[in-house]
Amino acid sequence: MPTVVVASAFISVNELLKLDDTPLNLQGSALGIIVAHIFFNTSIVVRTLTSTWPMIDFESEQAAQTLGASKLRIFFQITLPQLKSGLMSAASLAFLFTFTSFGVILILGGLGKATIETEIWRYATQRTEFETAAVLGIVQLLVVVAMLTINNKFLTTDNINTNLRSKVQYAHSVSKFRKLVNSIFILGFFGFPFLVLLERSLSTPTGHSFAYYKQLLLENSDERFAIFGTRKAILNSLIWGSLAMVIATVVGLIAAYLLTNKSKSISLFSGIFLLLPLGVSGVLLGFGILISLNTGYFDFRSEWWIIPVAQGLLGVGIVARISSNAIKKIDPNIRHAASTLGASSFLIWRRIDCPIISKAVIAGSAFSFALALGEFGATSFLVRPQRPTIPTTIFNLLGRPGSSTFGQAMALSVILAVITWLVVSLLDRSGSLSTNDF
Amino acid sequence: MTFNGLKISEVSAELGGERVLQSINFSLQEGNVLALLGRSGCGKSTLLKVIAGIVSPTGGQIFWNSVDISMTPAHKRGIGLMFQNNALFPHMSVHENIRFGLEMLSVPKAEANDRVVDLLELVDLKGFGSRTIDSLSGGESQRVALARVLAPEPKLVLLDEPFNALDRALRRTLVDQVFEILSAKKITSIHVTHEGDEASLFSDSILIIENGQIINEGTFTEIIDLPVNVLSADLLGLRTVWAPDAEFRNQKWSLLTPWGSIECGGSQSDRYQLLLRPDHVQISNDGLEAIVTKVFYAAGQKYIDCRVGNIKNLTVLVDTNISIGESICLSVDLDSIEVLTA
Repeated sequence: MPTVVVASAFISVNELLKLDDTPLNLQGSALGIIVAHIFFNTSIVVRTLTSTWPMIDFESEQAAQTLGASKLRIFFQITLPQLKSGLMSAASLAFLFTFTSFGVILILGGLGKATIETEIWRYATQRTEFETAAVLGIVQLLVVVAMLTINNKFLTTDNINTNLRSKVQYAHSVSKFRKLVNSIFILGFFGFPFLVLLERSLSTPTGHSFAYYKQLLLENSDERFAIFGTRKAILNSLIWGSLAMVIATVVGLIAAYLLTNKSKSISLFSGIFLLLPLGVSGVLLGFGILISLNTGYFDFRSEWWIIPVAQGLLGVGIVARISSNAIKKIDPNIRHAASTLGASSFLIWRRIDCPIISKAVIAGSAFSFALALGEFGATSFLVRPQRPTIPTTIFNLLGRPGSSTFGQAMALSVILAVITWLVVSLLDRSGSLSTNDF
Repeated sequence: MTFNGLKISEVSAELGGERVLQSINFSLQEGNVLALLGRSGCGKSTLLKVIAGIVSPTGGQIFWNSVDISMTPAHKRGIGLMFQNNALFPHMSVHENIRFGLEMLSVPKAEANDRVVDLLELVDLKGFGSRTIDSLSGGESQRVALARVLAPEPKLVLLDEPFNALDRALRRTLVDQVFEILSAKKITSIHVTHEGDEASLFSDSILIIENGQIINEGTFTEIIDLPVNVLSADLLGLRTVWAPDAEFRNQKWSLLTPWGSIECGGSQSDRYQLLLRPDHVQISNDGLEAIVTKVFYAAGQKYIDCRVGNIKNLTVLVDTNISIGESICLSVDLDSIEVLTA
């Protein structure tokens, strides 16, 4: 889910439960930021573990059982060590996403709760102290590179025993009661903030209605509420998101082929020069564009297309990662077989590679689209008031006093959440998502 | 003079900077079947990939009907390769897999479809055309792979241990089926295997490779009669092979056996082992004492393993009732003990 949506959801929970002056206050507090990030990152950990856990060698657990080990001992001595790489990989990603989080901290924490990411933005846009922002950017980059290296190490040293039988046995070993308890917890933890967000978006001073949605989509219906170009923002987000998706797909696919090149030097070179800079946050990319593309012919900061380019570049990493994983999985013998059957290199690519990796590429493209839709970091540097996007409009609406703008912010957050949910659920349904792709 | 068939001349190859084939030379008459035997990692599969054009040789030439095809790309060689793991296209149906090679040859769709139906019948998979690859059993996958290789009617079919993953019964059935088809269509083929008995079933000739070099070649009968080296004997399932105590005196080796010593020439750096076939050992009262350690049957015949002298497991073909732990006397004609290079 986009960061602005998560932040809006927690603000709505805070408002509905009136937590403002209590120790559980979620707005402007470290507690709110931490809970929101747990909410944000749990899905990454769950996705990683649900793919690695069923793949562990089930028979090693059975062997320990026959040797007299208790359930607790089996978990700590047999299961947990086999989950180590998946856990560490997920943990390093969760750290990375939280470390570079911008929208949630800026909206939920305000200026009182600063992180490196929000400080880069503040120094660059509010105080125009570019040098300080640059130093902070370099510090952030070093940490990001270190965490990406750790994540990559755990991904490559993953030695989980993939035994298909264990998958089946695992599926039967979870009791219905545990499944029910897990489902209630997951639905409660993940569903509650969104349900509250939905409720707040419908709650008007005169009762529950679609008034805020009407105001967003039919701005001229009531002139009093026509503050921001929300229809324009939705249109901009959809068009720029589509353009960003095309850029991310094309560049990501080229990067994926370079990354999987047989030549180690090409693969290493492309790894460093294509993916490493793309591991940086949106804020850093936006800041980079702001200070580098500002002279003479290269002053593109005010051009509309710089926004989808920046959003697209942020999506290249995910497209490249998902696609290169799919390319690596193609058995070289399949290509050799096609070759001995008379297929040229181009035909092998068209008839073998393309159909096999198509699902992964579609998944990567759709992900880059969803990322671009919710992108707030780079966009906040580059967007102009006359060219809003959904996330920047939500941020602006939340910054204005009044129940009407708050309601519109909630409604716009719901619209963004629904679009994102549609994209992700379509991916899940098509089976294009692989949990190891994160 | 034109040679009809495959001729490999001084072919060498490297993989990852490591030499895996060294000056390979052999020829295979058109229509014949060659069995390629060797231990894992000896270079058998690489040799097939070099012949198919997937791996480029670092030296040497490959000829088909006396035409040099060394520089011809794999997709233009017309050589079919059946992989160890079948390498079926996972995103295509059985029918599409088999039709792929015909499409590459631009065979009209209707004709291609008819040929696929014929091939499915040939490999005993009538009605399997619309099946997905992941719905096939191991044996079915092998037969689809065979049909796919045969579809474009290649001049040479290379089989890279395609039956390895199958159980013994299915393996035997498939081997019979595959070579019946190849023989009926008079297709020249090279079959990589490490099963000597499998090679004896279908091959016109055998090539044994070790460390990227040919160490023995001939017909099955020639090699089994005179294996020459330990690996050949081992791959063809010959027993019993053992390293004897040996002395080097007067430029000769004296190899000591429980029944006497055998003299053989050679240099001091040479190493030898001895082969004593089970049917060359007699149970007799004036022989050497041996203790029976195992009793077993192979191909319907009874064998015993004995401990005699420094030989831990000497296999003897028997037709009497003997039990484990029994003491017997064994006599051997020294001339029947064969000397092999180690």
